[in-house]
Amino acid sequence: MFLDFHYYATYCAAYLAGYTHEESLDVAYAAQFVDCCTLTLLKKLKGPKAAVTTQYIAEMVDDTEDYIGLQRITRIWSAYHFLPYDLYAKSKKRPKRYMDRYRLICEPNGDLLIETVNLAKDRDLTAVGLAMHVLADTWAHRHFAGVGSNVINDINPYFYELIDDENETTTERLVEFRHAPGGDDFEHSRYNNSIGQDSEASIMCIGHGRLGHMPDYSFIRYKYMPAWGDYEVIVKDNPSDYYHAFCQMIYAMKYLRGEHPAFDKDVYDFDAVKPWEDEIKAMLLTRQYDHEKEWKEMCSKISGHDVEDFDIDKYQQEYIDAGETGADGTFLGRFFINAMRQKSMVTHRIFESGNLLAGFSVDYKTEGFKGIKDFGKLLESMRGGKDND
Amino acid sequence: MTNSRRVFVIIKSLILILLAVAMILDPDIGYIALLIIIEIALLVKGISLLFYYFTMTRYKVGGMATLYKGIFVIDATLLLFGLSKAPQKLIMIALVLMLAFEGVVYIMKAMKSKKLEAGNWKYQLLHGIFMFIVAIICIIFIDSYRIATLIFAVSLIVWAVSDIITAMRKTAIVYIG
Repeated sequence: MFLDFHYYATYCAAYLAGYTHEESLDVAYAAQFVDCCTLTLLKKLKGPKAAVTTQYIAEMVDDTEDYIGLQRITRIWSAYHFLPYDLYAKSKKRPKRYMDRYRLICEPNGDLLIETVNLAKDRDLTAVGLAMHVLADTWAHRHFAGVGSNVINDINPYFYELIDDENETTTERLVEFRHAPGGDDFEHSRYNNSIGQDSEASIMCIGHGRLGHMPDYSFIRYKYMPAWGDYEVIVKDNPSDYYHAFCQMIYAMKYLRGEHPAFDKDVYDFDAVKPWEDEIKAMLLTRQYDHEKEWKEMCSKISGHDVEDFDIDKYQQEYIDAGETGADGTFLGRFFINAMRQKSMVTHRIFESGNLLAGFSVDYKTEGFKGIKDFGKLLESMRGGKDND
Repeated sequence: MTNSRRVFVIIKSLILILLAVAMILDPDIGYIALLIIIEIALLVKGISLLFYYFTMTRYKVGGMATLYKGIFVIDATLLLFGLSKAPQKLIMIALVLMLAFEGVVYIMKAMKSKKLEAGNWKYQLLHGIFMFIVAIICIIFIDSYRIATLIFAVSLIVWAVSDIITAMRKTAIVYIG
């Protein structure tokens, strides 16, 4: 998903869930910031490095140099962008090495999604935004795992884009994957993707890299036969998935605001979107790179306010000026703590399942504080209640 | 990292350091050790490719290529074992190419990091330039296997020390439920 959905659509969903204009802006900002919080940025801000939520290619290349780095990659991509659906999933007889990767495949409505949303309950708006990013990505990134895995994330030549014409007839067009400059060619179904590698843990095989940006386009529908699904055809319907993501975000945020007693799987607030349903569905179907302009207009229609453009620098000076003592209470400081909380929870669940791909997790309650120093901030926030601002 | 893996990494690294020191002290033994290390590394690579095929890639389209690759690497290694002495220049060329390539990668990473305002770009650039200089020295002394073993020994020490540092690092995530 791009900024159009993580920022503008999240703003719309937050507003429809009952947040004010200013609150919705904060939720949307935090949701988009998940795609900005790199190690490079954290070093620049002197923030906690464990709060990293995404990686540049250059950073990933650095991390593939050792075993620990590969675990770091898995933690980042599994916790925020490819939330595993079932850590105890069963498949036909496969070795553990295979199953460890298979169990990290992302799907919507998993147990970890419930935990992710509950983690944001009674916490500040950056926690809400972060959870909404994770939720939305479970729809866009479904069928792929947030781990470098050639066996799970690679594709084969059977790959067709499904294109509906005005007479509602569906045409199947063979997708041509390439590594060419100039971007994707929607008209001829030519898409750039990462270069295939033999190495299992190659960064080229993290998540949907082998499909390029295809899962990030809201209009796209395609079918293919992943090896992990025993070569059964899977149809990915992004317009439907994106719409479900939008409606589920509204439901989730209504829960976080206290309108629902619990957050349940597979529940969507279609009613709240009813007045804009046709317009949003038509927008999602438009074959173009992103829908920033359209979503921005939708924000104004829904809330009556103009939504400012996303500015990555917006809260950085506040964080720097706050110094060591006050930084954790700033917008970015709270975001970093919530990011570590999410990473800690997901890593712990993966570790608990007997899977070491995301590294080790130490339970503070039983073993005390033994681990990466940055998580001390998380502990401090739990003790001091700074995260509930 | 599990404790057993940590112990394994430390022992392996210490053996490598000892071997590297021996290579520096006695170039003749060092050269033979260099060949043996390369051959063992290739053999391990071949066996791990076969293991990768039987546990993973046989479940995907095109996975058979891993099997062929594994067999080929093992075959080539056994052939190399059969040779009493590999041509010295061949070893030197392989080392020079590896160093030069790694140097280019580091310089490219430094340029990218600078563009992204990452603080470590100067270190990466220096690292890349250093590797390039070493590669040039190797070209100048292409006929001397003394230089080849020396470079290889220093690389082994750097590699082993960095592995020990990695093994000693605190890497666990703290879960506060």
